[in-house]
This record gives sequence, structure tokens and C-alpha cells, in this order.
Amino acid sequence: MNVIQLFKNNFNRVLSKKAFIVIVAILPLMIGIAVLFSGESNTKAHIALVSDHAPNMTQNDKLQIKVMNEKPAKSSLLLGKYTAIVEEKSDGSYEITTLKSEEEKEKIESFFDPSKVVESNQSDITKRGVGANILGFILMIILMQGVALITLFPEDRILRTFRRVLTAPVSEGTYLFVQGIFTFICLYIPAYLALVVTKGVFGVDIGYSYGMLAILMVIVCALSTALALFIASTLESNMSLVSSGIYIITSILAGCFYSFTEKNKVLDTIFSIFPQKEYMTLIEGVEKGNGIFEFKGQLTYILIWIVGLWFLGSLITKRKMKKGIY
Amino acid sequence: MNFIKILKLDLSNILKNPTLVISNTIVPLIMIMVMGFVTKSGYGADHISSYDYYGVTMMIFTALLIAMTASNTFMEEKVKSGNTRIIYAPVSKTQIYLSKLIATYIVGTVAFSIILLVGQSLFHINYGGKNLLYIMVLINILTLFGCSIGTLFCCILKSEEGANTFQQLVVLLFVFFGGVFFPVAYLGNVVEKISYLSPVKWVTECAFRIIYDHDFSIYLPTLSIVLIGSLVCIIISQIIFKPEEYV
Repeated sequence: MNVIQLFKNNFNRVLSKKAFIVIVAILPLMIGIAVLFSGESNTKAHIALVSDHAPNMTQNDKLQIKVMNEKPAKSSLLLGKYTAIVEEKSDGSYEITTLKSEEEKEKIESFFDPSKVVESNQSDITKRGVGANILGFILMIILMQGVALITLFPEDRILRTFRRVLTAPVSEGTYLFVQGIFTFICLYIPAYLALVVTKGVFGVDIGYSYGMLAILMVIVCALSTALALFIASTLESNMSLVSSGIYIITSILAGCFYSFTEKNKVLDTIFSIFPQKEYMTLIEGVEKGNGIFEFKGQLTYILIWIVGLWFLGSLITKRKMKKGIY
Repeated sequence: MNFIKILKLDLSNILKNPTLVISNTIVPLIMIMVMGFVTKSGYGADHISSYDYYGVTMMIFTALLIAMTASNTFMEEKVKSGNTRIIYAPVSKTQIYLSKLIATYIVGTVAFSIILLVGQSLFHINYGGKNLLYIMVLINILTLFGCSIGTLFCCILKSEEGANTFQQLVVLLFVFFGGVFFPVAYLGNVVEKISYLSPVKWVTECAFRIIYDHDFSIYLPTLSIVLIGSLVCIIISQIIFKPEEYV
């Protein structure tokens, strides 16, 4: 009964909070934007060909060539307008300027000058799908949102309601359980709905079935809730500042934005400590058509994080209660 | 005189808060290294490394993220009780929020200028060489904009956590369209057109033009846009900030 009472109380309080409602509403918006963009992204390399005459170049699905008389500014490379600037010399040779790696440069070179054949060690095979890219970005947003949505917990402490709640027949375990469930629901429903709408209504191919998305989002939201509970019980102030810093950096290193392979063993091990990394491995695998239970290791690892953080969070709260901090 | 006193107190409050100091000094450097490291293999054919790209864009990101420091300086629980007393003192309401804004701005400007200087001289990130000063001014104005956004959201949402969460997402949106994490033109024409609405996009473009083409054609317009944006935020804050609600 207590659980329902607490839950109802949370719900009623939240309804009067403008900021909270805005935060809940913004989540699906961000997800929608992320999904729509990832669908838009084109992988074509845009090439600026500086030439006096327009040579008859074959365009293919990887290259789009724009012929121009004047060399574009170098900053247009940094801004992503062009992948490379190719200048045709009077002797018929080409000079290539690009930000990309040497390997990419050689590939472009070989296109213009077929005599130079490059042996490309196909890196395309390791490329991840659109779905994993989208969920990677969403993962970071949901982690941040978790900390934002658990706001009732720190508020209860500041307003000293927490102490009063616990004088009622409610243990801090029950209290935290309700906060956790409440946060989880506020995260899960808008996030899942946003994915369903963008997939169903806007027809963006996310790469997972509705059922699989539901499962994958449960994992993300549970992780986010557990982390938020832990952070809220550890930190007294500056919660969102500290957590967003940690989330952004660890998510990048775990490869949520960019899929990168590091040949360095030590670094690889360090990065795989982050639960985000295991999650990315999991969703990449699932997108390629594997069953979710082929990733028992990853699932267990994430579950350990969730349970561990939850446990630590309630332990810390209990200790702080005993010390009389709250 | 009162204003200077309040300002001094706010400044020392920021400097005494380790989280705020760390997030405006070491964290930007870590961000540059992390992003540079992760994307390292995709760059390098033309002596422009991933660190050069993310050195610039991550500083732009940091300059906007100072909004979170501003909201903290303004609305943190410990500061709030002190401010409540100021509200009852014969001090105009403008001084209350403006002192927080300016204190944050001073800390940000000093910290970021040092980072740019250190980044260029010690880590050899290309911040424009001789044109470093222009980039510093650009980041400086963007810092003012960040502080103004932070203050504005505090005035609207009346709570630190609410303001932080909300502006975090706004900043992420700006940054996303501004091409901070990856060049925005990769995402097609529509997105590129939308991106023109993001001030971050102008600052990024302006910075790269100055550094790599010595092209100052959009420098003054960009500075003006960002400055006007900051002023608009401050004016709205002045209108909606009600000290009696703050308590």
C-alpha cells in the first residue's frame, strides 16, 4: 500500500512542476530529431574539382563531384561542405587536399588517376548500422535525463520531507524503490513512444523490431535510473553538472557517437569497463541479426551494473540516514 | 559600491566550488583529448589533425556549457539563502542576477583564454597562430551568451536543477546543429539550412575561416549576432525576474 501512496504522491507533485513536465516532453523531441537526422545522413563524399574545363567524370554512389573554376576556401573542408578539394594541374595530374586520413586520400586519388591502384583494407565491414548509431546517441540523452528526472529525491532531502516520510511506516528501501520505478516510467514511456512514432508514422528505418526496441529501451532506462539513484544519493549538489560531464566523456569513449577501434589493449580494457560499451556491442550485434540471448555476457554485465548501483545507492542513503545527515 | 561587493562575493563563491572550477578548466582539455583521440584515425592527410578540429569545437561547446556554471552561481541552495538577504536590502533586482552573470563571465573568460593559450603553445592545437587573439574574443563573446542563457533559464524555471536540465538540452541542440561533434553538412541540405539558426554554427564557421583562410568577412556580423543574443537574454531576464518568487 505504501508503495502506491508514495507513487501517487510523486505523481501529484510532479504535475505541479512546470520544469519537470517540460523535461519529460523534451526527451521524445530530442529522440525524434536524432532519429530523423540519422536517417538523413548521407555517406557520399562531396568533392570539389577545380578545373577550367569540365571533364566527363562518372559519378557513383560514393562520390559526388562538383566542378568549379575557383578553389574553395580551406575552411569549407573543416565545415564538412567538401570531403576533398581536387585541383587539376595543367599537366593533367591532380592535387588533392583533404582533412581525412592518408588512406582516404589515396582512395580519392585512385579515382581520379586509375593508374594508382590502392589496396584498401576494407574497413566498411566493421561499420555499424543506422540503428546502433541512433540508439548510441539516445543512450547518452537518456542517461542525462535520468539525473534530471530523479529531482524529487534531492528535493525531499532539501525540504526535509525525506525525514518525515521515513517516520511513517516506510523504509528507505521502499522509498528509493518508488523513486526508481517512478523515474523509470517517466523515462521509458516517452522514449519508447518517440521511437515508435518516428518508426511507424515517419517511416524511419531504425533497424530493430518494435519488440526488440522495447527490450533495448528497458535496459537503457533501467541503467539510467540506477545511475541516477546512485548519483543522487552520493552528491549533495552540482548533480547535473557532474553527471553530464561524466556521461558525455564516457559515452564518447564507449563509442556511442563514433565507432572506433583501438588497437591498444590497455585502453580497450579501460573503455570496456563502461556499461555503455557493452550496450553498444549488444545492439550492434542485434542489428546484424543475432538474437539478444547470444549476448549473455553483455546482458549480465549491464545487469550487474544496474543492481550494483541500486544497491550502493540505497546503502549510501541508509548510512547517511544513520549519521543523521538527512 | 554595493554591486562590487556582491560581485566579489559571487566570484569567491565560484572559486571555492571545486566542481565549477574543474568543469571550466580541466574538463574542456579532457574533452578535446577524448574527441581528438576517438576520431584520430579519420584525420591527418593535410596536417590538420582531429585535435585541431575538436580543439576549436570543444572550446565552443565549453563556452556555451558555462550556462550551467551560471545557473549554479545564481541558484545553488547555499547561495540562495544569502541572496534572500540581499533581496531585502536596498539593492535593485538587476544587481542580484547581473552580479552572478558577470562573475561567471569573468571566471569563464579568464579560464578559457588561458586554455586557448596553453592549447596553442603547449599542445600545438591550431587556434589561429597570430590570430589567436581574435579567436579569444570570439570565445569570450560566446561565453557571455552562455552566461546569459544560464541566467535566463534560472529566471524562467526558478530552480537550479530545472534550469540545468533544460538548458543542457538546448545547448546540445545548438551544438548538434552547430557542427560541434561532426561537420553538419554531412547531414544533408535540410539540416544545413536549419543549422543557420544556431549561433554556434556561425561561431564555428567564423573560427575556422579565421584560422584556416585568414578570412574575417563574417567576424563582425558573428560577434554582433551573439552579442545581440546575449542582450536579448539579459533584457528578458530583467523583465521576468521577480525576487519575491526567488525566495
